[in-house]
Amino acid sequence: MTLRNYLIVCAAGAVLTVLVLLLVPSIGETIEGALIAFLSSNAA
Amino acid sequence: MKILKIMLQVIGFVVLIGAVSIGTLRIQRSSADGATVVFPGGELVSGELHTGPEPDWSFTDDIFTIELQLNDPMATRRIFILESEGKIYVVSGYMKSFLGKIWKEWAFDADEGNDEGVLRVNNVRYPRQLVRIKEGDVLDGVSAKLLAKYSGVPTPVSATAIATARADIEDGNSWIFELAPR
Repeated sequence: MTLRNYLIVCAAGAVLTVLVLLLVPSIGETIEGALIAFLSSNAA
Repeated sequence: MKILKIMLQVIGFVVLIGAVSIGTLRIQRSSADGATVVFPGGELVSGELHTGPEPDWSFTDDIFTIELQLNDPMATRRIFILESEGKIYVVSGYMKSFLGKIWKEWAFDADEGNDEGVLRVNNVRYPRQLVRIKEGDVLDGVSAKLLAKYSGVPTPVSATAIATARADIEDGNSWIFELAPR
């Protein structure tokens, strides 16, 4: 994959991620749950 | 060489999506009425504003987390609450760890003077001032409640366990703030 195509994929992925998180609240909640689990076991 | 390049591209993409996800959620939550455990929220708007004498705070024994707004800068956190001898306290742990320093930004703010805010519990808002308790016998009661409520230690909590938890607080690993009325 060329650098140009890679950057396009990254930009598209980022935009898609933002849209999905804004439009599907349950996905955000799932990510938060995973973050809580990670912080609880690694913050000490 | 080609495989290495593909692996680096995949790792870069995953890191990017993770960072975008966290950034999006943080911005999204920052204007909400209230907070989640991970992300700070905005101003506490809903709920009756309490006036009059202090309530019997023992009801908070049945409440796992509360929402606490600090006023300047305005941000709300969802955190543990403890009642001891008629007063209420909030706890911020992991204060000496790297992640704690990022995650518990509110506690550093409160300790540096952003100490006025609003507590919301059971949809009632209480104006509060945060007063950090660094030492003293009051920490024995707070430590006992902390261990019993959040660590599952059977009551009565042993004097040894209380002394260990108190030392952890006095060493600055966990910070305790009294939520005094204002």
